[in-house]
Amino acid sequence: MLSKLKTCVLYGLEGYEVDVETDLSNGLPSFSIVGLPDISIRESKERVRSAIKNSGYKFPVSRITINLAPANLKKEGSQIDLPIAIGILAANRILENEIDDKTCIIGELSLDGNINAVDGALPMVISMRNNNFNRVIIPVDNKEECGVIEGINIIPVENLNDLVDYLNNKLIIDAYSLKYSQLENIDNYAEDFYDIKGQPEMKRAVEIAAAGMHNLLLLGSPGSGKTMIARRIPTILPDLTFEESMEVTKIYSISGQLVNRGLIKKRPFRSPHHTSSRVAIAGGGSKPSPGEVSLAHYGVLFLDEIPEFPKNVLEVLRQPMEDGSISISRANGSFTFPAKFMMVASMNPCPCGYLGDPTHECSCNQGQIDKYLSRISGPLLNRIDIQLEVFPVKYDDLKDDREEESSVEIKKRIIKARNIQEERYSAIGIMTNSELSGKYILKYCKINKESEMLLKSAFETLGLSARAYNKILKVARTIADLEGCENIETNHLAEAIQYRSLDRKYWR
Amino acid sequence: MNKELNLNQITIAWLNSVNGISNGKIDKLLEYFGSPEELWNNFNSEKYKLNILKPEIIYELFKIKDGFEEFLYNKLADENAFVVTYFDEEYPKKLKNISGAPYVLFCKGNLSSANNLSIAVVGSRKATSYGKWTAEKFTRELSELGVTIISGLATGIDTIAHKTAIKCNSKTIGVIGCGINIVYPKKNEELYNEIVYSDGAVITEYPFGMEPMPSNFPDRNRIISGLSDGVLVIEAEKKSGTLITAGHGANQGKEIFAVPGNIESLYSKGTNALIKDGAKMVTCIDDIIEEILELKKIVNNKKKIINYKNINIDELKIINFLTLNDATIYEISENIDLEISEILSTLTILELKGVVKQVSGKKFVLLN
Repeated sequence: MLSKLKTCVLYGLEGYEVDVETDLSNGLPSFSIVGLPDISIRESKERVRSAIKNSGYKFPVSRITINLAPANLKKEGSQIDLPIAIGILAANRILENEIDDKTCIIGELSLDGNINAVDGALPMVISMRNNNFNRVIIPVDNKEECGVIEGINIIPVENLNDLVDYLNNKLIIDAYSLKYSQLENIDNYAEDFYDIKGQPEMKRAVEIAAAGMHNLLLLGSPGSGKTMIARRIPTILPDLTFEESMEVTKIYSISGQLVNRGLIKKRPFRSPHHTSSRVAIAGGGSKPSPGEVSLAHYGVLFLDEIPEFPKNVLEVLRQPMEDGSISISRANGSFTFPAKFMMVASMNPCPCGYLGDPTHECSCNQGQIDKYLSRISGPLLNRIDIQLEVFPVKYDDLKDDREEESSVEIKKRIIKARNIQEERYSAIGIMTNSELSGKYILKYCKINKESEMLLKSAFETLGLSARAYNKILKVARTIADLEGCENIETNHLAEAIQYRSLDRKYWR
Repeated sequence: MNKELNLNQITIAWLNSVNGISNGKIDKLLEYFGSPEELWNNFNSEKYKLNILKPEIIYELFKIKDGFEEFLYNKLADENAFVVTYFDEEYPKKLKNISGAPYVLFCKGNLSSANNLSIAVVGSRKATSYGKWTAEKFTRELSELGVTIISGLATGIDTIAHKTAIKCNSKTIGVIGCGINIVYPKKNEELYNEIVYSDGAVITEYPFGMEPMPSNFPDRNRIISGLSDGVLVIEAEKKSGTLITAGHGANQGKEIFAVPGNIESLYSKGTNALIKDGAKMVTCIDDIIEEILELKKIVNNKKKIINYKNINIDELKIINFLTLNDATIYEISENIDLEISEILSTLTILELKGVVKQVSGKKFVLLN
């Protein structure tokens, strides 16, 4: 009595198909699983046994051998519970029909026979669709996240009894599908730019950063609103497109962080604490899982008090900031996770926080200040296009009940600028100005004679460092895009120079 | 330069052309006769008894008096040179005020620049690389302000000063210690011509054919300092002609500037000593500017020209606001009806124009 069916295991962001072969034979009753199962799969024996029993079926008293093929691939994850249980029921002839090999079953069992949601359902379903499966049976709680995938029938099931009835054609379960556009639009962020009083230049800088996906460093004394504005950046970023949303949901799905089990439509905002380890930021583990940089994919990675982060943690940011992805190699294999994020960092100008503050005295000596600033390495600073010094708002301004611009209005402008960029760069496979490199800067950031003179004299009189050159051009490009100008004009360039004030002041 | 020679010029050049007639002697002769004209007309053997001149000198004078006018005229025409005396209008005004001012100057080129604001840039003949660099730097910066550069057409610092001034399209005057028809040192012949072509001037008080005697140079130095409004000493040895120029300058009431140097360097011992004795130490061009009123005016005017040329309406709005008070970007945006992006770009441009400056606390202040 042999049965054979298909399930799926995850390897990074990719799902691989796995055969579950069940054999019932005579001999001393035993239950063994072979084919490199990890501990969560070996434990599934107990769940499967109880679930079958508690669903009212007979658990066969015989020698049960389960083989997971291919035998050389390490398997992991509780989603194999359900195929094992179905395999046993099939081998025991409780199922009346053969299960075709274009059906994939995933799900975790609880002892009463209910089917629990699993992590990584979305990437598994996508991979199975790409492997030409035509039906996938998933836990009912995973249906929201997988519903938008087209080209495969998604059968959500609640418990073991339902599934057996369904497979025996006694119960009809409709394939579940969901239109992306039907998903509720989530403009209901708790925060809004409306809340920020004053600080017009900070808002402007953030708007530019968001429009071109430029990395941003805010430097200022406590209470100047750095964290407040950073938290509101996702509210002005354009909505995720379907593809982006899928990619982000995949990452959250495999790391088990899908809160309401639906597709993610909000731009991620990740704010890891400065005590986070390198692995937490980059991703890792014996079976690597995505870190904060990947969880911030297509969103914002906010590093509050960036000098407090250990240097080795900050340095791991360099590869993802350059490539938009991070490669992690472990004994189990090498994985690449996407990590295309907008970095927003905040810091104080000195250890006590009050250097340059109009109302407080700074109590640091120069040595302390130098040491504090040196924690941000040149290469990292190199990747930050916009640096802005900010100061606290005055009490009167906080009390002021003047109308401030809301996120929605700012977002409109940003979407316009993004569209211009997308159109311009459609041929070279990038999305935003911040991704421009070397030769493309020359091509797309041309400036006229007058602007060149301005830039030259800015370098001479303001003592800008050479690394600022390309950054200024890229930021100027974004400013021009915000205005809808085809060419970079002198006033765009002049404004961009303002966003390098730290470069000239602190890091000579 | 085929200009008619006047009697003054003929007389003084005639006296000058005979060896042994010092400035002092000419003083006395003019006092006795009243004017050069009288002297020329009434000079006869009777004046043997005067005791002003030795008999052999008087003999010499008589010998060349006839035909001197023609002789001088031809010589000047040959060299394309001209002569200016103390009594002529073309005589440099600054030079008139010094004691021992030369009665006659033989010139090539255009002397008018001598009345401009001028600085003497002097230094040792054997310049170090530091000296060359400073000479080049300060000459260039002075030239850019339109200052006439005066030096001695010798090798080393002098050469660099002249060359840099020509390169920067400024006027330069070389004062030499030999006859106008003699080029010394020989290798500066090209520079000598360049000075003349660039509308500068080469001048000397020595008659035609005078060899560059070592004793000529200290006297020549009083003209260098006398023509200038200030003397900038780049490098000087402990005992050197350069220090003599500085000494002349100090006696003439000119401002003395000295570039400090390594205390071990032989070529900075003189400049360091000058600083110790009260010369103004120069480490940047501003050190010179602040001592010379006229130069200060030039700089201010220049700034104003840059500042208020091409100021547009937005810039004016911000300037007007900043005249009331220093302000942050926020305060500016509160009070001026401009978009924040316009304010930011305008501030950058104003910063580059040197009209405003960003100070601690990200406040913007108006300069001047």
